[in-house]
Amino acid sequence: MKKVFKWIGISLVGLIVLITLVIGIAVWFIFTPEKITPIVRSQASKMLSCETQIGEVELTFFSTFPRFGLKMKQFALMNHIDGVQSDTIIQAEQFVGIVNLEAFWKRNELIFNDMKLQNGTLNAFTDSLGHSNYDVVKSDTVAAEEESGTPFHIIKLEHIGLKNIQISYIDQTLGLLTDVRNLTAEISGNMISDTIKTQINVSEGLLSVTYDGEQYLRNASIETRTMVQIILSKMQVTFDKSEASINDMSLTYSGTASYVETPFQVITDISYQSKTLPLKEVLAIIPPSYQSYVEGIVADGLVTSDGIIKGVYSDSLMPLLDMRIILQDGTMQYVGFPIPMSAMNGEFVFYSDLTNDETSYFRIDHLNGRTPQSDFQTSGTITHLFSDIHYDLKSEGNFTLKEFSSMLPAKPKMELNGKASAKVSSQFSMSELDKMQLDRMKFAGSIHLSGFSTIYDTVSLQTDVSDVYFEIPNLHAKSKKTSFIAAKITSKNLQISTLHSTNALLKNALISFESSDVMDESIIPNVNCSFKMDSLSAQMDTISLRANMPVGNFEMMPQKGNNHLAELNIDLTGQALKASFGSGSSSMHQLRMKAQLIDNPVRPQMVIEYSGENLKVAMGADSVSMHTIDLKADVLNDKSQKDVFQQWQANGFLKMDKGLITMETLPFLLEIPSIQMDFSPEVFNIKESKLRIDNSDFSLEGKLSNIISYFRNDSLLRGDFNFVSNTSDLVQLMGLTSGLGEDESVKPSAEETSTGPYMVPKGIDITLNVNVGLAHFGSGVATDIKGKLRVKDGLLVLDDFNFLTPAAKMQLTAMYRTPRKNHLFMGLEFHMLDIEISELLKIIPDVDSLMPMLRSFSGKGEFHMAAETYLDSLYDVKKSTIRGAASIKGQDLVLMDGETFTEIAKTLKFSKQTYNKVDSLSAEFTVFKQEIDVYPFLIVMDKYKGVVAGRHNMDMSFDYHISVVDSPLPVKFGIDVTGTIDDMKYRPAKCRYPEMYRPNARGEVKNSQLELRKLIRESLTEKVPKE
Amino acid sequence: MKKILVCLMVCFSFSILFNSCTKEEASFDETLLIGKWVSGTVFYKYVNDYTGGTWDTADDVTEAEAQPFTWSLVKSELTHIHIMEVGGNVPKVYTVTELSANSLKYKDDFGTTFSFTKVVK
Repeated sequence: MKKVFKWIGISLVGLIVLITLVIGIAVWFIFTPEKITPIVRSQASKMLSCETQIGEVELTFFSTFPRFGLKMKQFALMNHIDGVQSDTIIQAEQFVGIVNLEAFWKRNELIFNDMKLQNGTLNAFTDSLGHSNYDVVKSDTVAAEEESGTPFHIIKLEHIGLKNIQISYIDQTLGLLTDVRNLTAEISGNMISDTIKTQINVSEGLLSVTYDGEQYLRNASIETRTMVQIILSKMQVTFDKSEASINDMSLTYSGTASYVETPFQVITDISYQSKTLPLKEVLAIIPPSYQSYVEGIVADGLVTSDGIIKGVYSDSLMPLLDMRIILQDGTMQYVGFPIPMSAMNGEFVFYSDLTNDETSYFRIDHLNGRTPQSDFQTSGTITHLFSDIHYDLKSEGNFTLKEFSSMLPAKPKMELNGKASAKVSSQFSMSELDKMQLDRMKFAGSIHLSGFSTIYDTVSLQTDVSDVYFEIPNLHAKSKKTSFIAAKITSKNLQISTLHSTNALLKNALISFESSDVMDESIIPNVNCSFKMDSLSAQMDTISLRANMPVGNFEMMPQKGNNHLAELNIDLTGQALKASFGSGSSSMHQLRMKAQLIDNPVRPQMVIEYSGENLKVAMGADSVSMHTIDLKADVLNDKSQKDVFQQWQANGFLKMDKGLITMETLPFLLEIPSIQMDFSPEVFNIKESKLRIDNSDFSLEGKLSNIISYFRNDSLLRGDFNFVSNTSDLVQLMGLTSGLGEDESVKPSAEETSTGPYMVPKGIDITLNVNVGLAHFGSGVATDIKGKLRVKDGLLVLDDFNFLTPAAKMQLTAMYRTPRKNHLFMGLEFHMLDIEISELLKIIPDVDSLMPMLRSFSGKGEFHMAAETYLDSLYDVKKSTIRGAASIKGQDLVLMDGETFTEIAKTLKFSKQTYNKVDSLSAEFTVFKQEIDVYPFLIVMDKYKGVVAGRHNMDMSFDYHISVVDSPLPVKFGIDVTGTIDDMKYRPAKCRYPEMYRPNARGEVKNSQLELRKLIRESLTEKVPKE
Repeated sequence: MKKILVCLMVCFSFSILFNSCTKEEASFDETLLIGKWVSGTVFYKYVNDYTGGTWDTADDVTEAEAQPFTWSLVKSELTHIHIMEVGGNVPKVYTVTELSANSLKYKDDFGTTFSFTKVVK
């Protein structure tokens, strides 16, 4: 048995040796390159229309053992068409192909068992008209193939090896430039009918791709393991569980791509899944035209992605990308957001056909991350990726605000401190954000602030705990006009202050705010702000304010017909209000205030309604209290006017009651039982005005009219008031007001003392109808005081003041006129009826100087006096202007029983029974400059009648004449008395008036004297009412 | 009784002694009075409607601020009636001693004399 196997073995070896020998002989001696090369070249020229270069062709056996192969050296095909990158279509130093000859002969199968291409170049080119440089198979060959279909049952590539191959493919119809360098790949596959199944494994290569002028890859390191089926009839490529790697970023994919020639379309349906990829490198391969989306972004981390690419690719269409991206441990920095973000994890979906803005979106299923001191998370959708990117996000975060200081503008100065927890939903586009078009964006959310403080320019704000709710736009607006923004702030403590020592503290405050677009500078915004708080404290310099339970509403809106001017409405109530200012303070309860302000650059208007109870104002030791106060005023501020009264024009009313005023300089309380007045720019109508000071009370009613007209110099300022007092203590009042406002410790300067006399205002006509029931002046009293006090155009008049005193019924008219500062007129008309002579001398002591004999009389008489003079600016009398006249008349006067009377009676030997009675006394005297002329008057006493006349000078010298016209003596005689009181001279003289009081006997001269007296008296008494 | 008689006689004698004949009164042309007269700083102005005014520039009073009076000249008796604004009149009676186109002199009952010169326009 062994021998059998031995012989069989020897036979086989012998056979092999024989075959080998035969093959060797055939290869080396029969199929030599010299014989094969011309055949191949000849066949190539027959089949190919292009120029060919075929070096040496040899049949191989031993190098391709156990199959025969064909080795070509220096193989090249060349074809020139315009625009081609190289005339060489393919060029290789060496090409080795092994064909299964058995399958070819027996089964008509073309099986390449092995094919190797080394160090070759492949240049494929298709111009814009579809002409390709690789279309080199002659047409008759192609036609034959097309007629008969594939000439082989099977075309099979068992192994194609490519090594160091440079491939360039340019397709101008697609705008595609593909360049592969240093390609090393292995390809295997088969073709049955029109179906090619192949596996392409690229182990090395550098890929560059430019499409439509844009370079997508540049020398990217590629590796692939592709299982692909190509159905030629359908021009369909199907990938199955393929894997590709670009720059070590690998992904698996499968799916189909179909080519439709006319119209040009590639229909894709490919799914992929990446392995974990470094984000930085992913971002690096984003095509330049999409780099703008990530411009300024420096990001890193790991991403994975899966998805599908489905749809039609054509000249106008791109297939739909539905990509899910997962980010892990990402970091990011963005130029516009200079705070680094880290620990970013998220899941995103990118859904786009890269063309259609409407259907494309980037969805953030979740994204969370951190900054150095804050954390955040967000989700939402980003749409309109290829136009104006639109964000619809819901975000939450806990922020340390100081971290964001670098994002705040340098001017005005801004600072942020504290922590904020926020939940915000937002909808906005990039263009809206860039232009800060808040009216187009939507924001809503809440912010919880803790330990928050901020500075904006000169204003700072602080709060320990506050919550802010906001909404843009305001979907729950009270009015359409305030639908831009709504905000609600609740704060336990909110402090607002400025650098200029102004601050406000709000406790337990609730502030609701809504507004129109405040960024719109073309129109005044509509603002509605209501507030309610437990307390409000505010301080500005030395002024402080504290309000308990202030509740209010503030509205601002553009005026009707003028969008650039504001109208403000303020409504404020408060339980208690306290304020202090320097040494002063004030308080009020039940404060109610409404105000409307209508802005105008020239004539702003304001309507104020103000009321309060228990108003108290104190300034040092002085204080004012008021039980109730009501004020309504419609105020127009006319800035075009120069005078302050014309600038501020008010209509309205003022009502106060139960007021008390205490002043350090006043020992008594000033009580104001009530004040009621209406006021308008033209008229002040005082309906009721009462004042009580200790024992005095006053009431003033009346109208002051033509106010504005007066200040415009159009009219007299007219006033007509009733001044009524039941009781007035004049001495007390004068004491109260004397020196009021003057500091006794400070001597007035020369400037102050030379401010000039009181000048009666011109252009006014004010009448005070005085009615005082009882007036005390020291120990004296006056009752039933009635008269008019009138100030008219530079003239002050006490007109017909009638009053009663215990001494007399009196009537006084006085004038003070101020034509110029150094020329002041003062006039006086005084009537005392039924007055005690002694009282007269007390009231007007100067009369005693003129008529010293009056001192000795007792009884009642009447006294009339008129006097006037001009004064200089120091109130010194201008003596040349003195004018005066007086008349005194008495009946049944009694010569006081005293030493003087006794002496006279003794000297003149009055009868013992003579009662010291003077029958009558009637005298007139005048004052002219410095001369006081006493007109002749008759004195009748006992048996004597005397006529006295003379002159008294201001220097107190005198020159009197006494005519004794009736006496026990049978003759009439006269006595001249001259000199002064201290140096009196008596001189007998002619009796000048012997017949003056005898109408039948008196002469013309005497009559004229009496006429003058009559003139004087009548002119003095013509105003005295006849009784 | 003798003493009384002596006294009476003395008085009687005095009364006779002092009774004298009345001089005939001079008469002046009042038209000469019309115009402005000055004495030192004192001015008087007579208007032909028998009104007038007086002022003293020493007291910083101007002609426009003159105080009014009415006047009359009967023979030699010149009467000024100064009219007060508040009501009331102040009569002053003088006896003219000289009145010419340029000179005015008068005196009062107390021997005070006044001398004026005409103010030429």
